[in-house]
Amino acid sequence: MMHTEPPWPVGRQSSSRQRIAATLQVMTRSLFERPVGRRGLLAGGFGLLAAACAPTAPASPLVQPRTGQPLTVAVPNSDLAVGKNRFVLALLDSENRLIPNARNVVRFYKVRTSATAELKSETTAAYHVIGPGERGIYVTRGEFDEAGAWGLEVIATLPGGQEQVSRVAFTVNETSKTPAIGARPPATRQATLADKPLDKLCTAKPGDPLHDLTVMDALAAGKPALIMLGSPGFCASATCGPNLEHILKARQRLGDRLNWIHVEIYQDAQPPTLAPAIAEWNLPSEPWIFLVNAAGVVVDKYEGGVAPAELDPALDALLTA
Amino acid sequence: MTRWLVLGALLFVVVIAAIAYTRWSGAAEPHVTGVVLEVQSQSLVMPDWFRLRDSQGREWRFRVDPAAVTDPIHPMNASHLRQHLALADPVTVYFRNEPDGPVAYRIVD
Repeated sequence: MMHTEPPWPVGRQSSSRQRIAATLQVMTRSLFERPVGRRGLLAGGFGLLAAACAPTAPASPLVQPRTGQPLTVAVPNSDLAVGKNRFVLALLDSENRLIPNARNVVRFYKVRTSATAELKSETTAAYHVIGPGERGIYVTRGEFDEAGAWGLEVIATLPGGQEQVSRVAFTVNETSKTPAIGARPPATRQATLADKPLDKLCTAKPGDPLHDLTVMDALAAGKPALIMLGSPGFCASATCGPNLEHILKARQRLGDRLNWIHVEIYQDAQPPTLAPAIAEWNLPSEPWIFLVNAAGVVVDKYEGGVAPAELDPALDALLTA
Repeated sequence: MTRWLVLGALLFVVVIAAIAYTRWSGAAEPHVTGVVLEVQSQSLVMPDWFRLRDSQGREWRFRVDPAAVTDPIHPMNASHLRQHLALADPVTVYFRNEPDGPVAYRIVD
């Protein structure tokens, strides 16, 4: 609920935003009024979106008035890079509610210029419940062959049967900030129960049993490993805590066929000082889960919340690889 | 003379009471509740800015005061904002207006 008047009158939105909105309306229409080849260049609004969403904040602060968009797509990923990526989406309706289980088509575009974008791939995103209240996320896989400005287009069928389109721009980096799929992760020698009591290692209440082994020892063990870096004790939303629950259930199911490791985010499990491991892994966010094969190579990684429906098959595949 | 002193003291008390009331009641604290649409950050902890859409559909962009992310009980850091983004968990943002735009100094679940 809005409690105060906005700091700037609604009518003072930047003219560039108006131009973007107008362009997107035109481009959304054009997308469906004429066929678009898979490799064809699509005159689009992604370039404008990319400019608007560039990492440096725009000079003119918002307020933007109500747009009344029936579909908005938001992307929580913080580490997208050239190669294969787990891509997470949130779909919101005009009342800021999550839209669950929407039938959808997801298209990735490489933005070429301020007016053109090339369709690179088309897929769908699966809806996964990751926490209490049936709240969830859409997950798909995006493979990006070059760095720079990219665009995402989602065509979703809303609960009333209405089909809506939303677009958002994002940036793909040349290399991943976190350990890349196919790379060896840092041989971290984080503190374990051999060094400190559990309450100095783990924010979970009660503390979890994933603090026996260092990452360095796990990488040398010749056995697959799941490595979670997160701070479940400070998670009031449905991400870190449920992630840990899913991991503990998987551990019950799979036992010591894998090594299971939890690295806390905060030194001595107490903010604000970050644990040294966080800098080693160069995490831009938390939580993360990394799956490492018996050769000590990252085979998959998950930023944010993950559902058993997504994690369990990946663990099974890790064991049979 | 005494009468003026009494009136002055009364006036002083009224002004102080009014200031205290507005501070404690939150009436002087602009705030807005909505869902996070975008988080821009260079680190796990400190967001550079984030975009929020309120219940009336208006979009806001907030820079973030470090005080907002250092709460020892429930740090609302950049990662936590991303979690709110992913699940459309609303947040209430208390902010102050600065020449370059609103600055969030407290973000509450």
